[in-house]
Amino acid sequence: MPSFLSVRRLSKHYSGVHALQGIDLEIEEGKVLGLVGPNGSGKTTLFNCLTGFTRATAGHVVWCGDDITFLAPDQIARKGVVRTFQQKMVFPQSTVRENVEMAWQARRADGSHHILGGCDDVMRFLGLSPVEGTLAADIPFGFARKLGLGLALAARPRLLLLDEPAAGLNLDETRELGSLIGRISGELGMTVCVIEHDMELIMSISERIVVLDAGQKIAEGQPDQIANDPNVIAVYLGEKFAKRRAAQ
Amino acid sequence: MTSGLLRFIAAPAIPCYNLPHQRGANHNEPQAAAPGLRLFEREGRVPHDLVVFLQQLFNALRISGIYALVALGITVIFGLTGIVKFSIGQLITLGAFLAFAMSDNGRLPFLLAVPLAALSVAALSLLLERFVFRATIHTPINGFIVSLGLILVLQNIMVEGWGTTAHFIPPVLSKTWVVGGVHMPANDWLIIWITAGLIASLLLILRTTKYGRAMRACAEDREAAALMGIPVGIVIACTFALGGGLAGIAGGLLGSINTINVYLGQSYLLKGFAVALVGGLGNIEGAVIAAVLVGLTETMAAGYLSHPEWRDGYTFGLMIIVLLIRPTGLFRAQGQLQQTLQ
Amino acid sequence: MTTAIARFRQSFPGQHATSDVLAVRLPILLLLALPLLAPTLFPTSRLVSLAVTASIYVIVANGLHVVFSYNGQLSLAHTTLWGLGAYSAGLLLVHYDLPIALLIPAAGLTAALGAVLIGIPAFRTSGFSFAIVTFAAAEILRLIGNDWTRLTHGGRGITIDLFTAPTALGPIKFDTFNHLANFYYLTLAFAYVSIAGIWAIRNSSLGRTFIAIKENEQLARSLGINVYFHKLLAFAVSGFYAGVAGVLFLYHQKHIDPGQLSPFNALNSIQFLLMILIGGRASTLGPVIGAIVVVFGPEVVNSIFGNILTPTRAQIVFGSTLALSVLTAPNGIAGQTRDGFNTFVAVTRRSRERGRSWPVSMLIGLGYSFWPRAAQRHGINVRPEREP
Repeated sequence: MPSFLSVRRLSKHYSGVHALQGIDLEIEEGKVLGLVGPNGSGKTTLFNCLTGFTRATAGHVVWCGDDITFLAPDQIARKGVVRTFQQKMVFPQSTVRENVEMAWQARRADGSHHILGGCDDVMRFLGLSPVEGTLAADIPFGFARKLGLGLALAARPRLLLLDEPAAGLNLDETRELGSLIGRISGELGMTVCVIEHDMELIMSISERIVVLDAGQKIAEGQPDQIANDPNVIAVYLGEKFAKRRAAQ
Repeated sequence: MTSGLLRFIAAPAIPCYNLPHQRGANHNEPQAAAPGLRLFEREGRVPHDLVVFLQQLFNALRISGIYALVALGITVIFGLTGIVKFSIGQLITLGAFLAFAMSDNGRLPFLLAVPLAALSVAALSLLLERFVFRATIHTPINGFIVSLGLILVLQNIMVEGWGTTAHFIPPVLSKTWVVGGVHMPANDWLIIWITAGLIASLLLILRTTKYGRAMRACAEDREAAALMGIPVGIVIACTFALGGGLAGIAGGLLGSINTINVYLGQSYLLKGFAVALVGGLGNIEGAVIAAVLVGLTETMAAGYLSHPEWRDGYTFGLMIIVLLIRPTGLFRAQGQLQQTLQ
Repeated sequence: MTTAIARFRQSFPGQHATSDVLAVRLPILLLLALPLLAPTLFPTSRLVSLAVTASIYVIVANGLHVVFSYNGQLSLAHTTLWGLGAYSAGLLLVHYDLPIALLIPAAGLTAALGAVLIGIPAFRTSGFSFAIVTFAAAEILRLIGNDWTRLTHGGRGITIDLFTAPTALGPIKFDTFNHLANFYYLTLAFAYVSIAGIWAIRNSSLGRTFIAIKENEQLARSLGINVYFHKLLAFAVSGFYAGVAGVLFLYHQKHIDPGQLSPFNALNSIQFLLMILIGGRASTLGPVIGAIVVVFGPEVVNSIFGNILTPTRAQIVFGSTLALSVLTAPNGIAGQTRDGFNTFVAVTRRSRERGRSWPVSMLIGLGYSFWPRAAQRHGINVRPEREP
């Protein structure tokens, strides 16, 4: 049986800048994978390569046995790999409901029954029903983040790629997001891959974590392994975080 | 008379298909250039092919300068504000008409009339910036639509004021040099030198002076530039004036190599845009190089291919092909422009 | 009586006043039926002829509406597609004497094909580059019209002879000399169909997809929408509209040439942009309102003030209106009317709640309806207008 999603020797060069240097990565079905690393370590570039927004210089992305490296973003999305964005994450001049409808109908039903039966289910799942008639430009930032997530869910992915979903959220909202990601993985059975800087969040939701630095994978493993990996502490987490975690 | 005729013969690169009264004549006669080419044949000393080539090269040089001026006006404004000022074609026409009005009947020497006309057009452009385009600075697409509205306004004001008759500015220098069969009117040389000098000094200004640096800073990131203490509003106003002035000069110069009517600017506007797009919208050096490229394509196509009346088609074809291969033009613009283009 | 009033008031749930059937949809439908009376109401055949022009403009503007307002692509090739429809119809008529029932789909499909051919390279670019590429493509088409003399008759254009050309659809005759009213009803029918068409598009999943692309192309792509295909589709639909309008234009004018004032001048696309912006780009009926204003506006002014608006001056006025409407009322007449109406309802209701009598309340509401922004200062927020 072919693996769910595997990235093989993926590289991306921007005229001299090596954003990704031969990344190897396996995403296992049904798990939550955390993707961390300092700014400029190539996390978002990796997402862009996975979803077809950036054309990789070398290497391959294989999705359920198909090579999707050079497919267009919409083709990849229709195959079931959907991402969210850090900015410009919604359709601002449409209501929340229209937003979700747009995303829902973007992908024709492929015959497989999905747990989310329709737009109402998506909005109820995320708690967006109270603001469904409001323009997306007018809803609070926390709701906009959720709506961005809702758009991706409405596209009924098998693999959901979240690009810093907690950026700009306050503590409560971040906690809510954490449980939401848990429910997406648990109740909806989607595989999730999260880029995030909030280490508390990522440690609590991920089953496996991959650390990138300067376009290379420097560590991979269970959250606890990562937290204690001296390499990761040196490049990214810092001594303070390791000590505080050890104290807990 | 003779020199006038020669100038007309040596000027196959000038599109004038917009003249309504010429429309009938224009497409039924094959091409004005044809008798001229036969004339070179009789000279006989230099190989005919080479003469044709050099003649077209000379024509390309002259027209490229004008295209470059128009394209620079478009590209600096776009580079700074993201607004595509489509009404620049009408500013070209206005420049031509003002130059004509000032120099007609020997009121002013042509070489004084052109800068005066350009200054007036620059002033108009400044006014438009202050009262119209400043309101659209944050939504460039609205600026574009507004400029489409201004096309109607300016165009029809000029039709109302001057009618649709064609006018003609007599050449400043009437001498024509013939070197090895290539006809080079002194007037064309004058235009080549003026445009080359203008382009060179413009590049120098934008590269070295304080204004140029400020402009490039604003083009990169307007907010950061403002935080650095650069008076962004003034820089933008200056740039609109500069763009308008360039269009005005281009129009004035066109007046001496082409007949003037109220639709003159329209075809040059499109050429200017073709140049600016091929060179990469917002890229100043790119615009100059692309102007030469487009000028060459056009004149060479007119000289060598069997259907010279499709000249404009070749230019637009070139533009479409370039954009197909490189949607951002041959030379990339820097900074926030890329986002506006996307 | 009181229950009727209560029901009337209930039918405005504050935010969605415009969705009310009784107060809004019905009057609009009645207004839409008004053009049916034009041949009986208009005293001169010149006015009926203008009404024909307006109907043709409505069709073209509706097509542009799909591309510009729904899909967010500013096409400057639109009038040229219109001209393409007219040309193809003219050539088919001159060479093969096809009946109009065949001409209309043929011209529509030709223009749609032209749109696709222009769109294939043009949609590789976006934003302004797209506008300029379509402009250049339109110029190339005009060059063909002007210079491919053997095919297009060059600058002389194509003139059709309505006395010999087939001008009947079954038993109904509609040559514009003797049966102008019939011809008017024919164009009007097509105008209605075009309105219904864009209304259906707007309320279908296709329309939502178009709008998604306009609002956030990248996001749309990431959700699995084939952006390139849908842009081409929108452009082809609008090309079809323009092509159909082209046939009607040809029958009405009996002549088409690649000249300055013909549909083949790409700058005339501004006219249709103007109609959409004046009418309101967020509304289905925007282009209709715009077309009527553009065609009959100068007529009304001239009849009141005595022929002061020559076509040139009208263009100056329209150009400044275009600029002004973009700067001050981005949603045009339709948007302003809707805001005004919603403000009227909201202010009147609040005024009633404060114990004023019906006539006084409605008077206050009427006053504020002309200036929704003033009402906003008193905390009355009508549904925020959607920035285009």
